[in-house]
Amino acid sequence: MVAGEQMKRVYELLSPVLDERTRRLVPAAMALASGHGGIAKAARATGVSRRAIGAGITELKHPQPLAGKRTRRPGGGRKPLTARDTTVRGDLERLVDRDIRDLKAAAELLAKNFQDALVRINHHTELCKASRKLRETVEGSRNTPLYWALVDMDHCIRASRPEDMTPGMAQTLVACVERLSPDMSEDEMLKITDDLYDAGLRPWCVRKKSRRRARTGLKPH
Amino acid sequence: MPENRTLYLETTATADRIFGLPETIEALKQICRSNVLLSSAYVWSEFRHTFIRDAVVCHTYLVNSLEVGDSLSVALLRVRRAPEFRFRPRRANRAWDIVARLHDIPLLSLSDAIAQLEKDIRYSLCRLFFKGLQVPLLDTVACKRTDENPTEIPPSTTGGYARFTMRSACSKESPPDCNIVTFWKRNKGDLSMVAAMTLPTPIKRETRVELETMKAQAQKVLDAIDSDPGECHGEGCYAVLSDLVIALECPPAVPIVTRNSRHFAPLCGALSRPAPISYG
Repeated sequence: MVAGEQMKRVYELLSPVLDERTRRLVPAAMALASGHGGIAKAARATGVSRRAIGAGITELKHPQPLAGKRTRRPGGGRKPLTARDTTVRGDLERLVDRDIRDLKAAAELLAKNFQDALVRINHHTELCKASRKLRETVEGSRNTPLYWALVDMDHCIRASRPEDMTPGMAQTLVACVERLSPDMSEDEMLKITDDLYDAGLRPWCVRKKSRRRARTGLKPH
Repeated sequence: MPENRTLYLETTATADRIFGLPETIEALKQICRSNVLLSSAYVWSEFRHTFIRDAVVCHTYLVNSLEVGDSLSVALLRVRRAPEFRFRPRRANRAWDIVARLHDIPLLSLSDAIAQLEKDIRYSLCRLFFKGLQVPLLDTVACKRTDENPTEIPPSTTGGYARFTMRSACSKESPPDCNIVTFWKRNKGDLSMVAAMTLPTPIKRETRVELETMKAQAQKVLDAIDSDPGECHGEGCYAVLSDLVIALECPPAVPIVTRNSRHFAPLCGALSRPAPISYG
């Protein structure tokens, strides 16, 4: 028989290294070792539900080996959102497509109306907004080429000052936005980064101090 | 600038192509246009262990700040006061150069800055370094620090940020398995020329001190090359004599493109190489 206090202490000591499956199996083993009334005792001592301990006992009595480092049986756990809601993927893609279209329209407007300085500033602001919106839409799916392409593009757009922009930069932005797509590859993403840099767009601002130095003709350190 | 020449880009030039002021980048573009660009694995290792490593340190501080809910300004102040940069003003300035540019972007948040640094560490800095350079890079020293990539530690929670670590282990106590000893032995004559070089006049006090240190270290390596090869590693190679290594790795008739002409001009003079091309 294992006393409740001992159970609690053992479980506390083990808990940092337990995963989802062993969190069930350890109290189940304690319950089995305690004999009659063991499930209730183990549930009180460890805080694991009686249902989970019952499931653990079943697993101990009928062990099923799991492949590799799996803790769940194949098909176990929550179903992905795309399986529960079949329209979610399409909805998200439509959202991303819409934002890409908006960004493209803003970039084209900037490229078309480049000569008028005031109009250019207006279109640049719209471009910043559209790029920010698209960036926020894909923020949830980091580690996708689209997200990493947008990191540079968004910062390049915001770091560029409309008065310093050249028609070439605006044309490059339009060309780069046209290549954005939810299923773009990593190579395409890197090519977009290259093109932005080649056109003179940088995801950084020139430091104010350096600007002053540049104006005064002093050498940058 | 005549076309179809071969030029050798030194660390400062490779960095200025990426981080430089617009006019510096333009000046470098003019110099490099229609020319064959060489660089070496040693330069790449220097670039990594200065710029990429500083970006890694800054990224770590910014992620820490994000976790405690700082604003971007506070996070950047923390980077400035980081113990890694204390007593290392040049390194602090360099790191500040990397992150300060992120500060001026309108509406930039701390998470944006982290994402930008993450992209730079993962893809951009490496890609931009190699842009336009002839590959494979020249590699006579076989510097082991070239192989050390930043290690990515994936986030522990969903939506968290990855962290990076990068360490360089190169010391006299545990010398790496590189070719630096053979390199010095092969270039013994050049090493003795540098040890005996006459410094130009007039010369700035700091430059004089640095060049005198380089001369002393060259003599020390020359004296110890057969008896104590360990002297060739550690400080002798990557700290004090790094400019000499770069100058010697450069093919004899090829000019070096550098911002640091105060070191390379006397070195190239002593080694009877073409004068370095400076910019900015």
